[in-house]
Amino acid sequence: MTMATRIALACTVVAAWFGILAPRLEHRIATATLEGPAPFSLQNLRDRIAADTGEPDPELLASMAALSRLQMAEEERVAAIWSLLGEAVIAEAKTQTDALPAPRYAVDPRFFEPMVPEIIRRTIELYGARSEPLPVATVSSLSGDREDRLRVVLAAVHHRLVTADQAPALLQGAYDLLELQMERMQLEDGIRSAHPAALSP
Amino acid sequence: MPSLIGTAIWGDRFDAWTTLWLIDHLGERIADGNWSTVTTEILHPLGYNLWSFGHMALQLIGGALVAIGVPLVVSYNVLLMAGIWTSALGAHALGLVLTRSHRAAAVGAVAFATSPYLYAEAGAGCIELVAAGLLPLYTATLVRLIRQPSRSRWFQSTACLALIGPFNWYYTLFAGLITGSMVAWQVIRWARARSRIASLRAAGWIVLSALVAAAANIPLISEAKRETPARPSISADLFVSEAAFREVRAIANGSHPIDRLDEAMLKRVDAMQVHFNSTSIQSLLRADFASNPLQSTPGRLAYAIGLMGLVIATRRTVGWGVIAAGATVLSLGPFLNASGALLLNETATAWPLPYYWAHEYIPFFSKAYRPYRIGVVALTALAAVGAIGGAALFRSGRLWRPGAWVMLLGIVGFSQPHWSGDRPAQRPLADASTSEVYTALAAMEPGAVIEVPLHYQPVSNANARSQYAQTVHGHPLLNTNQLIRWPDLLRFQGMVTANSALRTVVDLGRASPPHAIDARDVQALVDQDFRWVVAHKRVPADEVELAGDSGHADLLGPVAWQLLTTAFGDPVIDDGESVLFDLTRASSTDTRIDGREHRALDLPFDPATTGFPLVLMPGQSVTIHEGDAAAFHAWVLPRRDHSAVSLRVEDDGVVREHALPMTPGFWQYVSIDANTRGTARLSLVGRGEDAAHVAITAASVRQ
Repeated sequence: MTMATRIALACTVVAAWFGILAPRLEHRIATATLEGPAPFSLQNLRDRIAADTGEPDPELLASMAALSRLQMAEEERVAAIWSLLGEAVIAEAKTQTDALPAPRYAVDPRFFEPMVPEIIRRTIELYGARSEPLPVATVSSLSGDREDRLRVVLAAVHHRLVTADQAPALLQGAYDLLELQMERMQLEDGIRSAHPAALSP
Repeated sequence: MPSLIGTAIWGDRFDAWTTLWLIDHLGERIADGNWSTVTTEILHPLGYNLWSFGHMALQLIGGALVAIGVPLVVSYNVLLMAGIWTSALGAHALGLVLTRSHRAAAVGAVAFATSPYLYAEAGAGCIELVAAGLLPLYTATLVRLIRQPSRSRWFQSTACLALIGPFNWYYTLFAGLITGSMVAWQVIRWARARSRIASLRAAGWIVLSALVAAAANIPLISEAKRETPARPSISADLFVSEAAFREVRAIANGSHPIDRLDEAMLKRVDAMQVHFNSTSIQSLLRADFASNPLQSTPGRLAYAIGLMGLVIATRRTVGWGVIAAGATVLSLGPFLNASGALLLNETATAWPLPYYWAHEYIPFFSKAYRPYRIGVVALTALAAVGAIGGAALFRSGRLWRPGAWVMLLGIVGFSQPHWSGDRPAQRPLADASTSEVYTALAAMEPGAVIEVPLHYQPVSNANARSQYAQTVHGHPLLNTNQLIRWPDLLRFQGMVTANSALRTVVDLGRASPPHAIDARDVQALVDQDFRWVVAHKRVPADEVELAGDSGHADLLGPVAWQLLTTAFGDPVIDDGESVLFDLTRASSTDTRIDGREHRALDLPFDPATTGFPLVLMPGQSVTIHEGDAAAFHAWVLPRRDHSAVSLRVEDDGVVREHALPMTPGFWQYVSIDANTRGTARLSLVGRGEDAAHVAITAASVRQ
């Protein structure tokens, strides 16, 4: 191999690694961390309750009911934020979800997942800290993948597609959602520690 | 830096302020001819063994500069810059030995001295790690010994290895890694061509050199072991345990109650360090300039130069390439961490990496409990590959004006901190001036000092600076940044928990009332030669991510101030920035503060809880309290210059506004008498022409 070939090969290797491979791998890892933890599965507990013919554990039943209520309430808040934005903003934001910065709260143990705190932070930074109540969502909008919706909301905020009038309600909706998530995090921790054997796969 | 060389330092973490103290202290020791290993200038009256620092040679050079009259901050900055330049010289020497070409050696020197690793350690204040030049220099002596063994070359190699120890014990281990690699390389060469007995002989010389260097360091080893007390085994269970993580985080943040600390707990903290200090795949892929040393790597330029050298010079660089690859794998730590997550998932722990086996089974290896630092071994090998590749390229005659290319490489390399990653060169220098209270304290009567709040970990820069302030006031100090080793921390715990005054001021900024101080315990402190208590109403803000949300641990709320004035009497100094109490004027009765009349405000944008910012557009307002309020207290920090925020009090049809006093770069204690008569509403209002970016924490109202 001549020196010229080696130089060309060396430049190609370096350019391919630092220009293409490393950024792609890094992006994949960053995307994976954005996805957050896998949903907390209570199927084992639900199966046990269903199969158990004896006296039901009232505390466990109450926890399960509270958990279901929280999950529904979270879904409603996501849908409410989604409804607030409107179709045109959503369509525009969907095209810009790839251009989001690295998640600041990806490994922050204070939060349940990184997306909602990121929405709050960006909203405050771009529109100010004023908040106002967000009306309850209509039932028809309670569908769709929550993770994707939050990513679209974040893109809408990040790219300033949200109007200054919408921002206070969006911020309050995100605050509400975060509060519900924190409540669910505590509840799930409690169930996990009380029933470690039943929840193991 | 040149214009501020005597007033500011580059780097702002507790290590920097500790190092400044150590340099000054060693300067005093040199001037006084005092060679005692124990000092009571910190950790008074228990005392602290200086050997626990584990590395003092570089600081001793700084101490000598101080002793001959060079200002302390200048000495520190000179050592830091010398660290970078001697690293470049050491790598140049290695390249020169390998290639006999200054141009090629310069390629290796640029790769080595412009590494994000060195700049991250510099930013953290670990100047003894920046001075890494002895590693490539030692490698150069080994290459010379292998090529032509002789007594003089053997002596150079041995002396260099023996010298590394006092400068940095980590690097001694890393030099041991290089030694082992070179021996293995020679043995492989001998095995592949049995006739080459010279390879085996070279390996023997290297082993002998290492043994003699180790023997020379034996008197120091037992003392240096204080720096890294017995290391616990690697526990995969700990790295995946959320409970363990929370416990370790609470201890590292200094928020875990001091009376509940025990040896097993502190060993778990030590055990977790291995995981926290491992390089993640993401950091390795990014390989840019990170302000957090734990995310630092040899860097893109070093890897690019290494890759190019490997392709251009092929067989001549394979051995160095293997060392670079091996050291990079070791820097990943015991288990693969893709994203740098603080908790590993369980699948990752099923596949231990080479570091795990080395940590568990190779003697002394467990002392290298910060795997990311092994990257400096990879860096040394990459510099060697770069130099060899550069020499092959220059000698081929294919490169037009090679000198200009080397110059360009140097410009690109040394300019990286200005544009790559976190751009460390753009970070403001840390002002090394101290509060005026310390100058006044220097003139006060003798007596040891207690800085309040008292912490058992260096949880913030403001707190860490108290040890540096000791160089100004000169009084013995109870506080120290050096309780990061569990034997010292347990001694401190024993003293503090036995005295109600000390126990109460531990983490006082975050502690909840009721608070109690017995008068006899204050008297006991006076009997132990304590006299002065210092607390602050203005605290430098933490700009370093490592300290993160621990910064508010320094901020004393209204209940804490009430406690201090009730227990220790009226302050002898209160200049609005700092407050000085005299223990000889303390109350002769026991102090009990329940703080019931104070109500904390749970603000969604409190940096201590959520970390969200508070941004208020001009005229925009957020309500923070509705109800009675005799007074409002908080700590505020402007995140952007010219931020203006007012407290609006709407009460009984009357609206009043109080501008919040703010100082850029500082947390400021705010105390406003609201004196409401009925149900009032308190709001924060953005004032000024631009959006106000403000942090507000520890907000409360007295009702």
